[in-house]
Amino acid sequence: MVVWLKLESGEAVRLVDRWSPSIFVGADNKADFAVPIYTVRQDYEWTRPVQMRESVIDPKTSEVLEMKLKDATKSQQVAGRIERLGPFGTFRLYNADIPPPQSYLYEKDLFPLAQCDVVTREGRLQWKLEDDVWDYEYAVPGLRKVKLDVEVAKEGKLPRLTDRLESATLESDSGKITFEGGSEADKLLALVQAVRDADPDFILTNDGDTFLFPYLIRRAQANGLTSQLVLGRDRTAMKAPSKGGTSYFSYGRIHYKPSAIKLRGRVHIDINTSFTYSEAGFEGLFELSRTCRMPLHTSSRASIGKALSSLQFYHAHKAGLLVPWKPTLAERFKDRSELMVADRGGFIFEPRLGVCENVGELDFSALYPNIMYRKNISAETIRCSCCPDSDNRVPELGWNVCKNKGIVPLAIEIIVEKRLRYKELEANTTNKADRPRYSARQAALKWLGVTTFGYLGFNNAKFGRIDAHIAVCAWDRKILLDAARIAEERGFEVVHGIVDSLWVRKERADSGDYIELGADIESETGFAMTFEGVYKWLAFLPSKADSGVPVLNRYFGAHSDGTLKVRGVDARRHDTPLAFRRCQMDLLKIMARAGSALEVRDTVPECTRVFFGYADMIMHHELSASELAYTTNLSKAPDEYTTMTVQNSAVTQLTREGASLHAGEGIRYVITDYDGRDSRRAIPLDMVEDQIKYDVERYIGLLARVCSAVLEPFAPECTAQFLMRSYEAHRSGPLTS
Amino acid sequence: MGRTIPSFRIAEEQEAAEWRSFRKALPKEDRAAFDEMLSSARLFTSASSAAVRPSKFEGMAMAIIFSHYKTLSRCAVAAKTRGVRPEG
Repeated sequence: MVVWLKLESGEAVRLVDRWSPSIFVGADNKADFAVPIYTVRQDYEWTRPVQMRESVIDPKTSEVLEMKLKDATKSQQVAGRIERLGPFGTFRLYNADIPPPQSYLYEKDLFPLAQCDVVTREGRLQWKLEDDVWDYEYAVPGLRKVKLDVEVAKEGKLPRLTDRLESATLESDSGKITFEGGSEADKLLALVQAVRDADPDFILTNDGDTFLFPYLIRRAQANGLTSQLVLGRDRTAMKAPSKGGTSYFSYGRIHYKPSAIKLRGRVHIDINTSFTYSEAGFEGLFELSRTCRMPLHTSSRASIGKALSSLQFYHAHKAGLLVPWKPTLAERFKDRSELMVADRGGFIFEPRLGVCENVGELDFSALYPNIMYRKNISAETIRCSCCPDSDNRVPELGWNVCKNKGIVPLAIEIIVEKRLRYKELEANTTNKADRPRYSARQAALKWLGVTTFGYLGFNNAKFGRIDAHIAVCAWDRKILLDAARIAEERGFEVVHGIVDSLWVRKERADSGDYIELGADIESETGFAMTFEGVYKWLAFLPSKADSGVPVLNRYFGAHSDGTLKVRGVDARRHDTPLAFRRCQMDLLKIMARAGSALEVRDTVPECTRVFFGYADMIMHHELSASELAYTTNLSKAPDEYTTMTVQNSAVTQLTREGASLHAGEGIRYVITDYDGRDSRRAIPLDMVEDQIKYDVERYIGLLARVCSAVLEPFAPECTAQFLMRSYEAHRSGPLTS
Repeated sequence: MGRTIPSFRIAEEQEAAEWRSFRKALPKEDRAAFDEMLSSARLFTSASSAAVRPSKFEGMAMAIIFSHYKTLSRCAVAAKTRGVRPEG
């Protein structure tokens, strides 16, 4: 195992530990162990029988075969060979797909960025941890960061790997260096030397995994510099990943994940593909890596679910519990009536359609992680065989919950407790400079908490079981219904409720009344509530398909202090053009100055003028293409499109230009001829050169819809058609006068 | 793993789709009224889901009846305020 250390002096040191991971084999008949011991004898250093827990639902240990591998990278290959030695289930394989760096961290009880002492003895490292993963005020070593970018001498409309390098730029705190003189080979070598001189710990790129690094690798090949393209610390030349990216389906959308290009001894962060970095920056990434014991490289790219799994694996390791290679934990049998009660989600009170005034919002803090943590919900604890008389029962279903702490509550304890503490620190610190740090750390932990619930019911989760997922939802329904009952008993009316948030109103109630209600709910349910504020006015919007039916999570409102909360409308949608989002937000800011629904209505003339202003900018082509670009993820591979939709017209042009697109990849396009029938209906943003003629009529029509969506609840006459007619009248006015 | 039973919101859409032939056989002017009636079930989806009935139609039917009952009650109150006596 190669370990990179950052010394107190700032120097980075590479150490090698003679270590390799173990995989474990279980079998009903212990005599069967002789078969894998003989068959894969070339692949292990040694084997030994050990007592471990094979299943999360079985508290007893059993004898399994530990196999210390010679080559850490071959664990799944060896596991596969053993598995095929008999019918499925003859040999049960464990710990085969835990990434070796993570196994190393679990085994040595270490975590990334931990302060520690290390001694090398006979090729092995002996660690002394001088840090605590529970620390809130930990010191991070001084880390150097650079941003790398390239300019491509495009021969076509899109940059290609075959185009020559125009220039490369390296940007750090100390300044920006651009390599643009000399031949392409000179520029590449100058870049390599500059990286070596700067010796950064982090190299940040935009699209480094998908384009920038594959491009540099190809340019190095073209110039005969393959072995000299060294951007890592250990002098190993960069090479293209052996496998391509993957498209996957999640929460109703297709996504694309490119193969990671990693650097040895430095961390490459592709800003465009790192969820953690984009959500919580470096501080969030550090917190996630430490908490989940995942190398920075991995945690910068891994889904939050992977990070959570790592945390669970660590706790499993500590508890002597093996991690199944192929989990076989099945759902418990339920008859039809039990299944119908069980198989439901969290509770929702349909929103009261239209505009409400003086509404208070109360949210349960991290409700789902707290349910799991405090109600001990885990795959093995629900309907356990050891505690049938447990007092802890799942509401509505009556299922018993184990008295012993489960693996999921064990793992999420640190998430729940640390996040709460960071939030307190963020709120109470007197040093403003500390606030963003606490905020980023709690944001990273928040995402971990959110994922924990999904992983209880995820079919690839090692310690998931749908019964645990069901139990959390059952608790949620009880808690939200209890909260609503408490509110109604105190004279409040529930205008909307969704899973962990409640919107209530009462005539003449003020902040104090809502805070008091929150405290009452907290004391009766036992789950903490936060008061989000009082809305002067709040609009719940109807479905686009049916104007009489309200839609969950599509609302906007203004708090007493004028701050806005906007959900589900264009201003919040990432696929909507930037100019539309800005226009709608401008309208909402004007509306937020109004103290009541009637006063909002009075702002309609001012809002209409804002609409006219944006429409004029479209009419006169004063908005850039990037401000009018729609963003979409491809729902299928380019060759699977059959009709010439606007998206397909952009995809067709991109593929014609040689772009390699996959299902799930994002594209941006501008509508150029909406009513056209050929592939010129839209143009991909990447292919826009200078100014283009976009479809003015279509864009103004769409803008009118965006504006009417927020005006109509207050002024029903303000439909998109009305706004369009008003605009036409506004345009013809000055012309005829 | 995952959901075995669709959420009531989805089940409601499925049920509505199953009545497409009924809708098709209605005169044009009645189709809008039919759609409106089905929509009124969507105002009480959470309550229908909480009722946990084996037939999705039962939940929807109760929601529609309840919605109509509320409308009638409002009409009755309005009529009373105006001094109109219901017949029969």
